[in-house]
Amino acid sequence: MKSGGFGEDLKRADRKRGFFQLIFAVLFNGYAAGFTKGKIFTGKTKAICVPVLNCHSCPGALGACPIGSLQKVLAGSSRVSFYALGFLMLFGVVLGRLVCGFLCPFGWIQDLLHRIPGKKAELPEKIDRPARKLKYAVLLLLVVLLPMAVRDEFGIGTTFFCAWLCPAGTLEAGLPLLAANPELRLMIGGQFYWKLALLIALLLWSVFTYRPFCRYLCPLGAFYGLFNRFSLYQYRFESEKCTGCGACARACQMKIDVTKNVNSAECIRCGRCIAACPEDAISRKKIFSRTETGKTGEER
Amino acid sequence: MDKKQNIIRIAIGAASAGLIAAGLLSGEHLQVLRNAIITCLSCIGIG
Repeated sequence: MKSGGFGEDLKRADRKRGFFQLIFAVLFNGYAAGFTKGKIFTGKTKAICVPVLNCHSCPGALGACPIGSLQKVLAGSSRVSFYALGFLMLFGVVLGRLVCGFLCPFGWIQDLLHRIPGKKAELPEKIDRPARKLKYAVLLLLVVLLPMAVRDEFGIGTTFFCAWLCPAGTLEAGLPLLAANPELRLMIGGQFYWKLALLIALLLWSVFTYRPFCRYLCPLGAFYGLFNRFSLYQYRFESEKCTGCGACARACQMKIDVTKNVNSAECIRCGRCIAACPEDAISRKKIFSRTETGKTGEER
Repeated sequence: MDKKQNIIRIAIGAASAGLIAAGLLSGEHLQVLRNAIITCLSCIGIG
């Protein structure tokens, strides 16, 4: 049983995660000169997909967005993607949604906004549960099917998710590039205003509800969520230690019942349930552990 | 259960490594690079 205050443990876990999020946001967007010049980085590292939803048209981006790359390849003449899909599967099987909790800059921004004090709100459960499935529809329709199927007279498809939904693109690429390039500002039209309105709505919503984009719309989170059950990075719940105090459920901002499904596809691996549990019933599972329970499966 | 999971992990890991290798051999990484070094107007919301 833990000896320290649970509130302190939670704060420590949040601070530690915030530090990682800051480091990775800087690491993925380290080309600082791009922001002042209003030009994107053109080095060879851009052939490598980063694990997060980080627009490669962000002036600071050092790598390629996996969702953007997947769509572009599917929308191209080949209609088949090996490379981007391979990266996505590799990140998924190693990290699962740890990527969302610790590495994603857009997730971090939503986290920071949610820290603004005030009344918090959740969608009613009968709306929340089906709404969480929306991200799978976004992945299937906007990222895969529509870019493959809808083509112009030259046979080139549209990257529907990037063009009409991605708020990370508007925030990380659209706003900095438009601020630095007056000629781009002349091209602004209804599509930009739609994306800007969507970004503002999601950022405002983040103040009241924890990570609305990640919960309901993010196709990358949907993809990684499929791997949460199999990923090398996993959580373990020991029911024999659980007293049913509900501390984990109160600490979980993604509103998951950890005691029922510790490796839920919705879990972003923030670690708050581990920090909150007074009985250490939830822990990180050792990689390639041999047993479901017992000391060999423990890391803490 | 864990043994089964480890087999699944290894299979997915091997499949993803195979896909990345296929992407490298087919030159898809160059396509990804080309796409990523050109300012994406649709990402910005103007194209």
